[in-house]
Amino acid sequence: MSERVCVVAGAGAWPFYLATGAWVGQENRRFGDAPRLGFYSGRQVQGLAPRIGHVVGSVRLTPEEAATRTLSADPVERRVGEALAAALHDGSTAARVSVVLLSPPEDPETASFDPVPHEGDTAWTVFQRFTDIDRLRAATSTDELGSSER
Amino acid sequence: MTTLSRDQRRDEMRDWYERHVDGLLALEAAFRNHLGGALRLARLDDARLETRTKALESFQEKASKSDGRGGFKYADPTTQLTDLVGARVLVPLSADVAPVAGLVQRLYVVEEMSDQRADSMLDVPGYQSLHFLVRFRDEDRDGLGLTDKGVPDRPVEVQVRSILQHAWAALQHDLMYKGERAPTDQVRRRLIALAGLLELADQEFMSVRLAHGDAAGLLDDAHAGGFDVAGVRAWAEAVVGDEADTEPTAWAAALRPVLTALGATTADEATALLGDWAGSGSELARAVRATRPWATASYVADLALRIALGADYLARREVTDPAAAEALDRECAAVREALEGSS
Repeated sequence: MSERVCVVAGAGAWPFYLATGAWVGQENRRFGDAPRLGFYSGRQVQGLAPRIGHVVGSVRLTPEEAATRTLSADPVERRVGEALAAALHDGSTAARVSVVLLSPPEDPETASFDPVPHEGDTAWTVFQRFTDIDRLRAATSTDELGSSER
Repeated sequence: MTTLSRDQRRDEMRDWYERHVDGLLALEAAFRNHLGGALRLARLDDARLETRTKALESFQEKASKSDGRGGFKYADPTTQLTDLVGARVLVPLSADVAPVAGLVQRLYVVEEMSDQRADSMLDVPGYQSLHFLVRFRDEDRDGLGLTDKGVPDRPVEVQVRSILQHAWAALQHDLMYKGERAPTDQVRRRLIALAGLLELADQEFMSVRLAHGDAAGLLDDAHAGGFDVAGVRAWAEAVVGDEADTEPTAWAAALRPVLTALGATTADEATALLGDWAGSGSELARAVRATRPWATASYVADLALRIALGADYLARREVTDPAAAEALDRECAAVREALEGSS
């Protein structure tokens, strides 16, 4: 059975993932039961669907939290801290955020496919929509993704 | 369980307690002197140490607790109860817990550690504290004459918390357990909300402290041989060639305990750890900041230490997790590749 993908919207999420291998956003954000994230930006579903690894549902977005975690000896903590530091550097101002560590772009765990363009007048999603990896690989436009928003 | 058998258990426990209380009090006094002296030596002067030996009534009550099936919860309370001698260290803010915890871990044999400040607990504000179950090291027992004096080799329960954490825990304990009525859900919710309020107050105090430029806080880091947060900040800036006073204090404050764990208590010692990498900080910073523009001087300096020390970096920080070693190898390889790419 094809793996579900939660495609999240947001122009900043895609470059942030490419730079950090992580997603940082709304505290306690849920992605249903999807094991993978996808990214919708620039009127297309971008061509990578990384696997969701470690999730921190709620963490303070402060320099102290970023510094303490980044300088930890624990590799997971370090990645969480690096994601927080990058989010702060990008100007995020939320008091608390969720951090999701993803398989990096070049990691074999990350599924790749041709970007799927969206041709409709309105955005394909402004929050998140679910589809699956086989459809993403086969689709030539978002019309063929047959996904649901929730 | 009959009333008689519970009474018998209480009597047995009284007899045992009366035979052992002098030893417990001696252990309490020895522990108070030892940890108290170590806190003073470490210049953790604002950490307040309290100790106690469990009172007879409290011991009898706990030792004769029912298991709900007609028996006793503790088959042998004299060995199963680990809180007969306890210590509490109160520190100003939650950020001050770590130096005290580190000291406790270095001084004693830690049999158990329970970190109730862990992330899973942070989702719900409330009782946050660090608990240890420790024993004197054998050499310290001998050195302090505890073995000769017949002071029992029993565990001591140590709790480390901030003043605000303690205030909330004490107040909620009174409301939850000492009232005649069980608290309603609404009361519980309000208590949790209060815990959140105190947590925010703690964070705000910390921010004020940092804004004041005193990241080491009331617990001055002078015990690190004068290599305090300001010193670490200046060292990290010099290592990577950043302008003075540009490094965020929070990062230097996070780097300082790392350096201490690695064995550097002066700037010279920290530089010595870098070995050949000591002169490559600027180059490393440029390469790292090409992909991580947020990389602070402390971050780059820590990376340099990881590369310079390799596996020893983890050993010095007492990390044995193979995943950490693999991550370090990957990180070092990526940094070397980035350096080659930038040269």
